Amino acid sequence: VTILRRLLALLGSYGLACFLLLDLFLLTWFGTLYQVENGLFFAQKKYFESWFVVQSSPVPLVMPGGLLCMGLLAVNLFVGGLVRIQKSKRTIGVLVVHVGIALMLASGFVKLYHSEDGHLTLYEGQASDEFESYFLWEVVVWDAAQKGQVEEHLIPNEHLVDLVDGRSRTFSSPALPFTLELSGFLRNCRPLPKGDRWTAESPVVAGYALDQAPDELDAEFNIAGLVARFRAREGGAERTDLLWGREEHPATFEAGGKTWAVGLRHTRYPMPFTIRLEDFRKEDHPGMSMARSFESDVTKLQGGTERKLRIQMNEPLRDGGLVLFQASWGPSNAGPNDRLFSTFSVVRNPSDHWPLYSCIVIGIGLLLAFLPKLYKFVRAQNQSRARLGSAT
Amino acid sequence: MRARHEFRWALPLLVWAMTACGEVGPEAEISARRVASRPSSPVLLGATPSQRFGAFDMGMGGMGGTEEASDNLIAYDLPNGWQALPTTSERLVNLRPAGVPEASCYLSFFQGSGGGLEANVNRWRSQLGAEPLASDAIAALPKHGILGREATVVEAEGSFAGMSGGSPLPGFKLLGLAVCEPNGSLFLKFIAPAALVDAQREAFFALATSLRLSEQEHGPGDGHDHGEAGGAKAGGGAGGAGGGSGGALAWMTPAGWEAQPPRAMREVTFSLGEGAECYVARLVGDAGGLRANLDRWSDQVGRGPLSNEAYAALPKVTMLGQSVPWLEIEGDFTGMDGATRAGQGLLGVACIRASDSLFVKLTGPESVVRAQRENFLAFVESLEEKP
Repeated sequence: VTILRRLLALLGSYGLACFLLLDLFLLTWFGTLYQVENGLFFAQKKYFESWFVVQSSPVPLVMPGGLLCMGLLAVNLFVGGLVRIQKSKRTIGVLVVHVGIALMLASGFVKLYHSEDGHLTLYEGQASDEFESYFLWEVVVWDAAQKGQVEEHLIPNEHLVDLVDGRSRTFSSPALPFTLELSGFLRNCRPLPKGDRWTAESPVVAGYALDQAPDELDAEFNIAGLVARFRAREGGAERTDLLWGREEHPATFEAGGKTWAVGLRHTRYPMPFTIRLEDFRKEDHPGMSMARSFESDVTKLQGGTERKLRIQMNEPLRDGGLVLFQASWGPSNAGPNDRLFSTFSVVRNPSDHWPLYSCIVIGIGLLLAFLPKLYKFVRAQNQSRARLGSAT
Repeated sequence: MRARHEFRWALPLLVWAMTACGEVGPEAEISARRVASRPSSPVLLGATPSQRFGAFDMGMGGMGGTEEASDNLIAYDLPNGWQALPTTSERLVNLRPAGVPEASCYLSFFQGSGGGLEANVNRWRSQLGAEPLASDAIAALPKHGILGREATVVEAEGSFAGMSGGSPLPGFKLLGLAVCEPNGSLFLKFIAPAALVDAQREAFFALATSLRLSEQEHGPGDGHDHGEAGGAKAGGGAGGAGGGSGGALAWMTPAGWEAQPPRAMREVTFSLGEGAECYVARLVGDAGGLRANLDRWSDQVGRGPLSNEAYAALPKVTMLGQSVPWLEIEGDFTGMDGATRAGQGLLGVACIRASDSLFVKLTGPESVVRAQRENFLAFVESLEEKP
């Protein structure tokens, strides 16, 4: 019990809070510098979505990563600011502020682990009922004979990205007459005809192999690749093929009397409605080709009904737990009559509104903490003025 | 007692933390399924890797096969094991042998003589620290054909300083072809480690030989990226029947034609609205000749090459002092994206000369093209070369 009490005292201490805030400052500083050379995605991964960070310069340093730091900060806030704090009328404002901050941290946690984000890119006239991730990959298997609606079997990103350094994984499903062994995941690669001037990072298949490329500064431009080995359950047929994130046609394999298609693509998320882009407009700054504002007229199709909507900068569409922001457009050098596309950033975030609630709670807490002080101050001022008035 | 009470919140957190980190073993079941409204990508049974991985863009390597430059005027056969890189305003074709990032091979075209052959040959040589050559030595250099012209073969070896002034890279070699004529200059330059240049020498000359005018062009409004564009609009009397010029040409701009930003190998491009455009292109040499170009245009709208009778019956217009046939044809235009657009029209005229050739081409929906016929002919007749 004594140890637990000491542990709680440590977890709720001001000292720990100061250490964690200093750590957060250093993470932000190092992360910002790292981002310049390595891009936002990898800076986020290394400094803010990690348990520990090993920093080599300016001095060798091992420090808590963003995940651990903010997790401990939440615990510190909970233990020190909610559990152990002296509870009285005087501290009620501080307590409420701490609840608001805890809510803010919780919203970040929920977003990190339970949100889906990506983009939906449509040319005028095009429609889609799914959006795709900027960074995550998935392997998709389907019966190539299916027309219209297609039943897809999916292997998620987390089962692919660790297939490095000779690791492989065999996937199977009772619904599939073959097994699929995946290996050799490359985060950024190009399929090229194998020549004698470069070393292939994959087996050579029909004269082609995957050539590993350095990571792009903007991680969404990385194109992943994999080696796939198919084995039929009956008949023993086997085949090896390459999967690449920008392939135009999937690999195919015949098993169980059917042709199966297997592809690698960015993770796709279904939407509860279909969005059709009707018209995209942009307005440039005077005398420049830089867009001042851009907006999209879309039709939302759901359950046989159509609804005309406009999505523009700072005015997203919120529906069905999704938020669609006007994010981009192109082609960037399109002429006046060229067909344009519009890109919406799409987020499904269960804690979408939590920061707002958090700010309201913090605001109430601050009012509760400072209004009595203001009241006391005003009253004291009035009293002193009254005293001065009576003296003269 | 109080401490025990305070500890309760930590237990579920600890249990969660211990169970959250699970690792997937060497075997896994595909458990996730979903029903999509369409196939993930089109299935092509028996697709070759070349078909599966498609025509590369955005610097995504290439493969032996026919490629086209982004502006779509130049096509070539990509040497086996080379990759295509994004084109720029000065690199109409931009390639390198795959897996050798320090190598580059590109085709450039400039208006005018670009300072002359001697200056360019010696500028290239100086980039590798090689001594300049005298005029007679340059005249004696071997020749090789490129886009119908005879180019001078330039070679130099040494430390490559590049144009950015970085640290010199030792052991480099330059192999280039240069054509410098008053109406335009063409350069095909391959620079890489010397051993690679030597190994790819045949591939380089095969590439030079394969360079040709594209057989397939973008349709109007086909959604393709139309290459590099400058930020400012080209001068040319946009928006009215004013005068305009681009390089050594001048013209009268028909009403309603809007000049577009400059594009490689084009003197000027106009947007006519409703997805129609008209442009003037200039190429060095005879660009394959008049008949071949008219046949190519006819083929683009699905009509195949012109018959001899149809060719002989083409009406004439005066262009730059020459009486030249002009072509008006309608049909289904197939663009680079494979999509066929029905009801498209094309008006085209070419002025073929020994030194250079000029092409005026108007494309768009057939009703717009028909309505613009008189404007097109007036525009062609208004073209003149400035002194």
